Amino acid sequence: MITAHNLSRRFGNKTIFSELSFTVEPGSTLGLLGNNGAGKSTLIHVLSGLISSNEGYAEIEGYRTDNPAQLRLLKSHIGLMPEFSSLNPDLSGYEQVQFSGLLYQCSEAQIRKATEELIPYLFENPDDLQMRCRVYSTGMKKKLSFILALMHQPEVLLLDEPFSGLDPRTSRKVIGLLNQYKASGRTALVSSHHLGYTGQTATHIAVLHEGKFVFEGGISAFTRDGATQLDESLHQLLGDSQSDEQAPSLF
Amino acid sequence: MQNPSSHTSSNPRHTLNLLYFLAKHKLQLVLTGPRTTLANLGRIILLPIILMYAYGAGLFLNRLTDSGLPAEPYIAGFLLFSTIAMVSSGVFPTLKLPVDAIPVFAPLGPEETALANGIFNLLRPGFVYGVLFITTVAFMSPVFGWLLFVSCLVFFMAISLLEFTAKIILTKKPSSASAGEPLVRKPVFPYAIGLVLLILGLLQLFYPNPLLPVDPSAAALFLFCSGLLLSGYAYRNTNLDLQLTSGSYKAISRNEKSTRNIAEESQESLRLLLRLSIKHILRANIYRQLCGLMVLMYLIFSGLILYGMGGKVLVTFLILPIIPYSHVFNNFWGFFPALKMNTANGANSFMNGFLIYTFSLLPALLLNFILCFAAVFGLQSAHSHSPFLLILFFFVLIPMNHLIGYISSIILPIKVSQDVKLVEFGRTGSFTSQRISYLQLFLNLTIVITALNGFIVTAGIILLTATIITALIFFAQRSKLHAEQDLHMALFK
Repeated sequence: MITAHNLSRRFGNKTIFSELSFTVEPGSTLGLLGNNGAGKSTLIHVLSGLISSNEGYAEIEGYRTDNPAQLRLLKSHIGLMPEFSSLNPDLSGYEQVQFSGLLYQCSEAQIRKATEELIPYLFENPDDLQMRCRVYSTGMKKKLSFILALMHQPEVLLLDEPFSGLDPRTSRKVIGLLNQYKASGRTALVSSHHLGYTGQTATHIAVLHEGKFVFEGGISAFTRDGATQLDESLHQLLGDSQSDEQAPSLF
Repeated sequence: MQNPSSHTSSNPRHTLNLLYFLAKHKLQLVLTGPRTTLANLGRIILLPIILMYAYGAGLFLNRLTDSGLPAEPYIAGFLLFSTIAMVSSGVFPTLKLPVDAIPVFAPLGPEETALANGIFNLLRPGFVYGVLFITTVAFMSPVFGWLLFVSCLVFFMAISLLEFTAKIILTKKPSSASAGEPLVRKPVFPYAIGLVLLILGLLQLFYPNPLLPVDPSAAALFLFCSGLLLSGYAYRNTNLDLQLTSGSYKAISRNEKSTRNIAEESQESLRLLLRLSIKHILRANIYRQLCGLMVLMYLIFSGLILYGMGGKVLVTFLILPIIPYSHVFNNFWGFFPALKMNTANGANSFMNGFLIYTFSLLPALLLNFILCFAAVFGLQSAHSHSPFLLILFFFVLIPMNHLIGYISSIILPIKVSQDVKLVEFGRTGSFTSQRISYLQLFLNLTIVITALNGFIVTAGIILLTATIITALIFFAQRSKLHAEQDLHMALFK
């Protein structure tokens, strides 16, 4: 379960978000939407304890982000997939799984599940993971990062742009795993610009705009005003339906 | 709330397992390297080669000592050269800025994280090589004098500092930079310095005046600095792709993000392409610019310090190492721009490509000429017994190596884009090509110095080994091209 209490974060004079309060219940997935630079990644970093909030705090499975003594416990309950790869470039994919297993103190069974089930499920050619991560494509890095985030079976999953760089088939598999994760009663927060994919996995939507949530609620409420797709609702909400007409004449 | 006790408390056994994993992984990297097998092979044999080289150089210079010359500065000079060259190759022992092996989101305590990161950084190949190198030099010092050890140690630390500085400068964003502003401005100033030094050197040699009296040593120093600066700035990445698509050339500058289409058959096209290629060849790679400048500064300062110790030794100390260094710095293939050709092109395309490469060779040779010129004066001014063989060796080696790079660039098309069927010539920025260049240079030097010491058999063995390794590397490159052979053949039929 994720609970945020009046979370605020600034960088210098720039306010990224202020006084955000929300709860993500177990068994639900929050789709976090917003324009580039809206503060989605920053919010994920605050929730995962990587950076501190200026005001307020969040609780992950009861552990507070503003309590340094609890940070280690908090991190151990989170499966984080950062937007950019945090893989060690000199490790192979399989070594990376071993390494992550050591970091999260995974059991042999968990490591085996990752290497023998998750990797073959997401990688068409698992032998590719014998190569060092430095040569991986963006998609491979994403898939491996997703596996690493899941392998210790965390109670809370924080995914930053999990679908970018993935092909449609793999995206569908990722959605399947996320729905399975949700069905197991765990909590997830997915920040993404792929609205179609987000719609297939999120139970709730939150739209971050100019430091505030301009929408927060169930996915059915998000699309209730006649809009059939998430992107239509988002455009209406952010008032940027005229963007095509405002494009400068280049050609 | 879940009970976290099963996997969140600090467990010494887990910490030890983690440290063991990191240590094992890093030590494996020292042995096998982070790259391909063949590149790793080169990396492994590189250290013994440099040490053999130092040893051979020492013996050779001891001979010079018999004729009344001090050996230590020469040995230090050779080692200095070796060190700089190896640093620029990227595989030499050097301390690097520590990196975090443990992701920030990992649930580890601060002590465990610090310990794991410390182990990781201490066992990085550069550091391990550094310890090996310094230890070996320490063993050699009783024979060649402690100056050898001290200069190696000082240089090891200085070069590490240089690495740190370059990294910090490159990663630091100027606070005032706005979006889209380049991180480092165009290097007009260093070019100007290079030209001023060149003029000063020439003036001092040919037009003595009260301000700049004739002094071959100083002239050589000026010319050398100028050559280093200019050649350093002309380093490898040309930032230009020349694509010869059907009916037209496409000149794509990665820096300027501009594309120019030029009709293939027009008279203007070849002139424009040549101008563009030379212009872009003379463009600098930012990292190399900074490194080149800092190496230069370091050498000048260290030279000044040594001047106090050895007088005329200064010039030799500076010049001897720098000539080959400069050639490593401007590795032989690096001068050649990537040239992409469409298979649909006619015979003209190949000829034009050939001409572009030929013209690209000229600036490289010109810069080398300046360096060689400086070397000759430097050596002559340092003492009356000029090591003619060494000078001759440099003169022979330089065009030969350039020629090898030149030919290889033309005959080794390496990249095919299936969609547009382009073949890329040239090995600009290619990891393997750089390594081959470095290896080739070191092997050449080792062979010459070993042979000069009378170890003809040893020199022969090294030459044979070098040939085999080079052939293997080329073979590996060729096998990579297997799938592209049809296209290659179609183009060159």
